[in-house]
Amino acid sequence: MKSNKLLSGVAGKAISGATLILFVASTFISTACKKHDTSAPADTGERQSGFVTDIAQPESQGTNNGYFWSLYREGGSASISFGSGGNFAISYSNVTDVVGGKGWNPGSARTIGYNVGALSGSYNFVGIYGWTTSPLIEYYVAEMGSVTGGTYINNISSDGHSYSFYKQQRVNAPSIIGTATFWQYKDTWGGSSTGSNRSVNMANHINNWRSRGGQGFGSYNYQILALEAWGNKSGYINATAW
Amino acid sequence: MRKLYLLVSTATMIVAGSCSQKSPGNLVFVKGGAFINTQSRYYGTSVTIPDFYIGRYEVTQKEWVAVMGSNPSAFKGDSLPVETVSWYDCIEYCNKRSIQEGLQPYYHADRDKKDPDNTNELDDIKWTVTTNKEANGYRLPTEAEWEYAAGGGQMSKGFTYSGSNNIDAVAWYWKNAGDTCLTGAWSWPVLVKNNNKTKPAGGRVPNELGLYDMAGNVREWCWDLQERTGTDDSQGRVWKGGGWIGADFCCEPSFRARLEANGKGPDQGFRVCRNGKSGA
Repeated sequence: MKSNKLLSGVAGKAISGATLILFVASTFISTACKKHDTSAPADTGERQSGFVTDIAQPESQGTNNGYFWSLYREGGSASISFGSGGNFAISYSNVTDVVGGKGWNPGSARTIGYNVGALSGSYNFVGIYGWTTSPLIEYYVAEMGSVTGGTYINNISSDGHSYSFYKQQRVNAPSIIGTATFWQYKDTWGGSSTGSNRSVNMANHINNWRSRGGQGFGSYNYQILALEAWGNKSGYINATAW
Repeated sequence: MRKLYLLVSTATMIVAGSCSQKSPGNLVFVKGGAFINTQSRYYGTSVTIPDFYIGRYEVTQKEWVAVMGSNPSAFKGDSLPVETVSWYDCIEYCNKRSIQEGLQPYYHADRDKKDPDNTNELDDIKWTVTTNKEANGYRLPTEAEWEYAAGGGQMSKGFTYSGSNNIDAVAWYWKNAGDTCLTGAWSWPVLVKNNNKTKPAGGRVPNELGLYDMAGNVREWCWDLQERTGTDDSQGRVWKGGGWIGADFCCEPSFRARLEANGKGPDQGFRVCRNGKSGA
């Protein structure tokens, strides 16, 4: 996802994150070598996508209280802990990149309830993240922070506010099915706040993606309420999804 | 004891799968028929597959270099499957190898005539490729042939993955193709850090027909064109089998996806096929 250009305090350290992304991208290029001519360069500040259980925690499980969860950390330190139901907390310090959260596998067009009880320090994105296959689509719904980049398509109203829909094509890029050309769908609102129950009606987003995305919609893979922070950020989130 | 069982089982499958007809080289004869694999998308349909031969292994870099003269692969090694090859590259390989072995080329590739049916804006090659269906030369499998063979043909046991219900027994995929076994959800940065890559051809247990790596290692190009599903989607050529980057569900024989025909990746390879009747 793109670095947050709207919240300068949040984006202040994005350059380091971009360095990581370029490193990851260059690692791929160095191994993949000869991409064909239509390959698009990795966007600066754009993570190559995907969430994972931190391999430093080999005992980690993929589910908790019936919810799917994941945590990926690069540099610094990060840990995830769980409360009841879909509650989770992530503490991170001086991370090059951290992405993590809790949700479902597979996802669906459900209405996702959430409450960010505490959020401190700095971050780039808090919202819904997921994948579909056939067609392969990586999607974001930014409730706090933003995800931009690509082409602006339209605005949709959902849950009492307006989201800007951007779509961006990735060509010959690594993905959950291997090397693929696929689209990222990015809906940004960014106006959420802590301490109150909120909802994300995924059906509204998916219906708009289905009608304006130009390729229908796919089969659900995982779908989580997630936080991402990159660029030596430190912070803490305690949130619940239902 | 387990190793002995695997050895005997493997030998039995290879013999049973290939001795009914004399097969050329590293090709396995596949007796045709209707799909008996209940896991297949073609099960219960009227689709039947004619007899054909298919490669026991994915095309290796040694085999590729012997025909094409250079090696495009990201991970180098004679016994590793060739990768980073486009669909067009594979068409060219099939014809060149056919000529090299005195067989009739199966394809005609007109490089000067842009295929009018190719609507993929990312494909800057667009050769017009036609087939000589009676030729005895090398070719790509059709998607149906590939899925039939992956499912064990007439010897199918209905496994989830080609040759087993246990993916780790038969496939190199994102979780097991690196330094350590990964857990959790798929992540490209973690795959890179874990040194995930291709593995030597034939390193896992074969399927009912004695075919190796029909699940995982590299994805395999098929002949078929898959049309786009919407205005911003792209037409492409079908690949099957999943590879070292992808998730487990990609390794199921019924999973299908496509890539533009000029697309390349370090997980994209192929295996060859030949017609059954004129065969060896």
